[in-house]
Amino acid sequence: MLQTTTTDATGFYFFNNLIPGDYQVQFDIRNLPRGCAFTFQNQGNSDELDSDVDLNGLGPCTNITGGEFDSTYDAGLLILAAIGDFVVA
Amino acid sequence: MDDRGPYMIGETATFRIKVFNQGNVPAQNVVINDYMRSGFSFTGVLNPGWTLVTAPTSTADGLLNYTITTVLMPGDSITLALNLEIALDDNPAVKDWWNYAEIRSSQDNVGNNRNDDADSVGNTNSPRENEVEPDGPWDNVVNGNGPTVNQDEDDHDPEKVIVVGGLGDTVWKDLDGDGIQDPGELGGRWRNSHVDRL
Repeated sequence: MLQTTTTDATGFYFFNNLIPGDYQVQFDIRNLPRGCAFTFQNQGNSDELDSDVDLNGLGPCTNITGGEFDSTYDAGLLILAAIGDFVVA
Repeated sequence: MDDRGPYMIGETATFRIKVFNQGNVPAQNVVINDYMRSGFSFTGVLNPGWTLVTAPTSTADGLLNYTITTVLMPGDSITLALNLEIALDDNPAVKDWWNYAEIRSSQDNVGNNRNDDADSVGNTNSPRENEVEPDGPWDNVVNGNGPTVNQDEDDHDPEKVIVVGGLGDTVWKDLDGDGIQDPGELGGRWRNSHVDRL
């Protein structure tokens, strides 16, 4: 595990200072609120708007080049049952 | 290179360019080209003696010049410092942070232009010269015999720095369950996402 973070109140997160190479983000499934699951992966035509992680919260391997700041690596949560918010931090 | 990094955008990297007189006569007024790419920006106050001739674009190298005012005797060398700030263009690529320097021209001690180097052609920045990569087999080699025998031109050499990147976005609620973040599908706090280098 290279870095760990918590999103802000709007869900935003970002890993900085990554040396060029191949990276993968894991969203800790143990923190999924009850009644939630990760939504369908890679839907639609926009990488900006889709969810990149699989059912286990694991995203794809992506190559980060020098000076590349990739802000398209996100995760959608499917609300299976209405039990309140999913704020867990 | 003092330190190859990794550098953040805005930090300054110092390149050191070593110029050798491998001939048998003194050399003077040796002019150096530095082909600065779009991953760097130049500040004159940090670089006495250097002149920005052409700024780089995302598709074309820039050009810096330096004239060595001291006489280089046969066998002598001199090292020039070049301080460049790490920059970021709209389409960053690893080679934006590579840098090439080359001898542009030189004179002998009586003022004759001496651009008759046996193993190199000055001021060309040719595709062949740009095929020489940092840490490649011809990097920092000064005893090549030139392109006519399929070897390195000694007057031209690369160096590079490593620049960091970043990765992220948002955790959001897919209220309609279509897998696409629609307007109004906002995020919330999420604990313990982590990134691994593979």
